[in-house]
Amino acid sequence: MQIPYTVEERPDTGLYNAKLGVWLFLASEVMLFGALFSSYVLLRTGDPAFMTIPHAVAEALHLGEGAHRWPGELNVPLAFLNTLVLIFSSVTIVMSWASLRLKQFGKYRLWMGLTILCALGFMCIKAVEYNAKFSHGLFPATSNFLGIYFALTGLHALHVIGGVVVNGYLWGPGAKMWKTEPERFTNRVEVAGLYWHFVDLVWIFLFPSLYLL
Amino acid sequence: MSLRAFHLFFIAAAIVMCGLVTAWGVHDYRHHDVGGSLALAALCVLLGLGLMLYWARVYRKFKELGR
Repeated sequence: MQIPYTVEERPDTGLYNAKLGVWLFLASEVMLFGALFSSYVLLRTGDPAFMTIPHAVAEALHLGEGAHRWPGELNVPLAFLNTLVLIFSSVTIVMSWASLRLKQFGKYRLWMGLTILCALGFMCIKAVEYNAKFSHGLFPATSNFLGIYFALTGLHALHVIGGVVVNGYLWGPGAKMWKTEPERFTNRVEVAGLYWHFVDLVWIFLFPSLYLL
Repeated sequence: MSLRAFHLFFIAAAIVMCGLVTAWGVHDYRHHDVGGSLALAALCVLLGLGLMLYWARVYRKFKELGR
């Protein structure tokens, strides 16, 4: 039995199955990140001490006398570098999908491989950043701001790992489908690209709101 | 929404982010005299301009690619 609408679009929705599925999934993701982001905004606007670095932490960081505020001690250059990496990876994943549309499988492998490398690069930079925080004694329990910071960036990092797994499958064993059902495989890569763009878009919101403002 | 439309939307969001980061960098430099902030603002201006050019180019390419 053939499963309908794996390649062609369903007339009433105008979408094939996988695309409808991924948009429903992304809608639930918007709610997940939206809830955490709302918590951050409410805590920040409702608690005057939320952005203040606790005295003991300021002493441990050798910040000197006077009041210090988050996000002053976060690493903006590394976060900006990660922003560049994710913007570039959104370009590479679109190029991988466009290569399949143009029937250039070799180029697809190249661009998808670059996307995976970018995601791994993002995780390495994030690990350096987390390591620096932990070595200075900055943990989620240290302050409410750090609790939200680690929850949001950690959840985002988990999504990046999810993207590496999916894109890695489509780059490696999953690519066999190109020989048997090329259109369906192209659709799978498009759906993975939609997910990846969502992960990138979340970071575009997180970077200025956590690291700069 | 297709991948092309989402990509164009994402790049537009990144351009807006570059504008915000540039404004933040200039503000931070004026108030705290941190050279790094000004450098970040300058980088974001360049990145924003590059992304604008890329957006226009990729929009044309997507049209050529067809449905």
